[in-house]
Amino acid sequence: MDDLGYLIRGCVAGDRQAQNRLYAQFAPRLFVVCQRYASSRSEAEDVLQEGFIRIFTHIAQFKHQGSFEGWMRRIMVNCALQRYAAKSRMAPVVSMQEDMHGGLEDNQAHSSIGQKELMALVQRLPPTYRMVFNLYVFEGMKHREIAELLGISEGTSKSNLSDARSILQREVLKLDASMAQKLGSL
Amino acid sequence: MTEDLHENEIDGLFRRGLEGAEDSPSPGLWSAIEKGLGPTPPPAPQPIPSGGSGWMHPLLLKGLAGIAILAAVGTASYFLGRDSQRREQRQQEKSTEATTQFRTSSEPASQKETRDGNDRQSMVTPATEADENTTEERVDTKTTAGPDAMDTRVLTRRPSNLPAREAPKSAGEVRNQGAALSPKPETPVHKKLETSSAGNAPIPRSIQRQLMSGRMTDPVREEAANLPGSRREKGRDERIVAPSELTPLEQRGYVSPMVVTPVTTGRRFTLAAPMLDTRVMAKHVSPIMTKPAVGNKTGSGINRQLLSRFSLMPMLSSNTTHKKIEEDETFGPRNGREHREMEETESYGTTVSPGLYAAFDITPRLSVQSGFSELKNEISISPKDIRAVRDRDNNVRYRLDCSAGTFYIDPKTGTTPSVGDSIRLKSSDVRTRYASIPLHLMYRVGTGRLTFFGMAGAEMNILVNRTATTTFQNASSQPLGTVRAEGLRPTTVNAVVGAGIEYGIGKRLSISVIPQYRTALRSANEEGPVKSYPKTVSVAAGLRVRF
Repeated sequence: MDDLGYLIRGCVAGDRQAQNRLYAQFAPRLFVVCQRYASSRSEAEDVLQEGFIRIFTHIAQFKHQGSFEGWMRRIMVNCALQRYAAKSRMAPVVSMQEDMHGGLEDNQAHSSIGQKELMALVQRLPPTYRMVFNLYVFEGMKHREIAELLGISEGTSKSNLSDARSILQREVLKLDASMAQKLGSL
Repeated sequence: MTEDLHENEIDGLFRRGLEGAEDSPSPGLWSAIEKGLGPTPPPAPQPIPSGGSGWMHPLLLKGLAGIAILAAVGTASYFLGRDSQRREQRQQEKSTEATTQFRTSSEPASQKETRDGNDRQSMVTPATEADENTTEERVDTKTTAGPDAMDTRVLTRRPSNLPAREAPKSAGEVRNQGAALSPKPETPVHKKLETSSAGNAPIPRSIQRQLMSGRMTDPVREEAANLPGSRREKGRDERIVAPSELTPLEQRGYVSPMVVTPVTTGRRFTLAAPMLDTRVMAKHVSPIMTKPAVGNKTGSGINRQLLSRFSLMPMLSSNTTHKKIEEDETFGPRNGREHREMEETESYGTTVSPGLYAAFDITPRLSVQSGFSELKNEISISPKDIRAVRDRDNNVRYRLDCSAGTFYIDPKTGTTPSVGDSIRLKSSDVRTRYASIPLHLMYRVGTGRLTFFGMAGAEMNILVNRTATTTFQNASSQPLGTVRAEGLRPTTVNAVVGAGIEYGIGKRLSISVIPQYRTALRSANEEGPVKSYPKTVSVAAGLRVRF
């Protein structure tokens, strides 16, 4: 913690070496956050780059209360949301009429799905679904908050979340099935 | 229910898989960030840490500067007031002078005029019966024997046919003698009179008494003339010079050096009236004076005067608070919802707080006031949903945001919540308590028993308590306990304005009623979704006790 404090003070003073060390320490975890909100790895890197520039520019505003990582994470989420808002022409959301009652009954099956596969599933979601799913599941926001943040209605937020879940559920089941098939063929 | 379970499983699967995961970005990304940051800036001056938790806010600095200015004004006014007190004291001394100076004739009292207000004085000696034969002679002397130097002019009258007596003392000589014979305060003056300037020829008590009374009878005059060192100067008028050029009072610095020009006319014997340095006498000879010029028996008159300017006021204050709430953009993605929701769901109660103020009268109209008071806020929050989020320690707890801070609540029953779970609170009572240290400047108008005053100043509030008591809305309305707020500043600064009325009910007692309005100069929240600026309208009532 003292080391972190020293790093923060160095960054406030504009010490490039301290900035590099801070980046090296936190970039891997924050990159995952960016990837969740982005549709691709390169887009996530853009968000991460923009986020770190903003962090270093405004680090003097950090009030030393609470988690520094949480503060950086909020900045990354803000960057991702601003990028989303800038891309206002969203890809049309396909209507989801799939069966929503498939269920995930076998915990053992999907427990083998790795981080990369899960990340790929999230990134494949339509942007609005992805935003709603991330804000609800990972940031703990309410539908009313999400609706106001994204400029959609509360009902749309609920609907998008439900659709996102059903897509993910279906994809997870598909993934499980293909993995089981591969294991069987071996 | 099954659907909910599936939803939770999907959410849980992704949370477990992606929360806290790590993945390295491209190696070249740091270079891009460096480019985006531009050239390395020169080392910025380190902000001054505030209590080890953040940086000093400009508003706090402004508040402290305001307090410093008030303190400076108060101090300057205090010293100015003390100077005026000294001037009054000097005037009092001058009036006492008239009753203590030596007179040797029954002629009308000395005519005294004051020049330049205070320090320069002229004194005309009592006129003799042979007034027409006298000429005026002014001798400027400077007394430095006492702690305070004083210019004195002694105007004497001598017979015109007598040669002007050699100036008994030039200013320099007098100064030297006075310095050499500086007073020993511990010795009473009647003891000092027993010794002449030579220090070895005691002056008889009869002469001392007559010297003090100003009347010298013929036998005594003869006796004085025969004292060692005395000489009788013959002329048309007999002139007896005292054993010393300086009288014992002069030697000790109690009396300004004078031109001793005793002149006899018939049976009268006249001495030029000496002038007492009453400031010196006030310190050492008060026991023999008819009335002390300054000071009381304990010699602490000035301290008493100082003390009389202090007053204490225990008081009770009724406070009604409302808050200006703004979104905190730095906290995270904001949507303008929090502050509206807080304004809708929060209601503020009226509180009663005690306090003790001490005031000091810089001038009769201007006072400075400080002390201690308690400042309480009570907020009732109507039923609302709260959600589980990760707190600073990465534990998942329910979070209640309100204008008085952020509260993390642990459910007492059931399993640990997952991020996003929600519960409904039936009621939440939030209390914050500050110890307030004010610095007020008060200006009074009015006379008699009734006084009106206006006041302005600043208050530093130190957070001493911040709790929320919540109740979970379920079948049994289960209490969730009391939790402490997070994200509040440990100190805040308020600006205060007020006006009051004071009614005297005795020599030392008065009742005050003071309506006040205080507004926060900086937000009470340090970290949270909103910034709140408490504004309090209060009516204080107190009993002022003057010393």
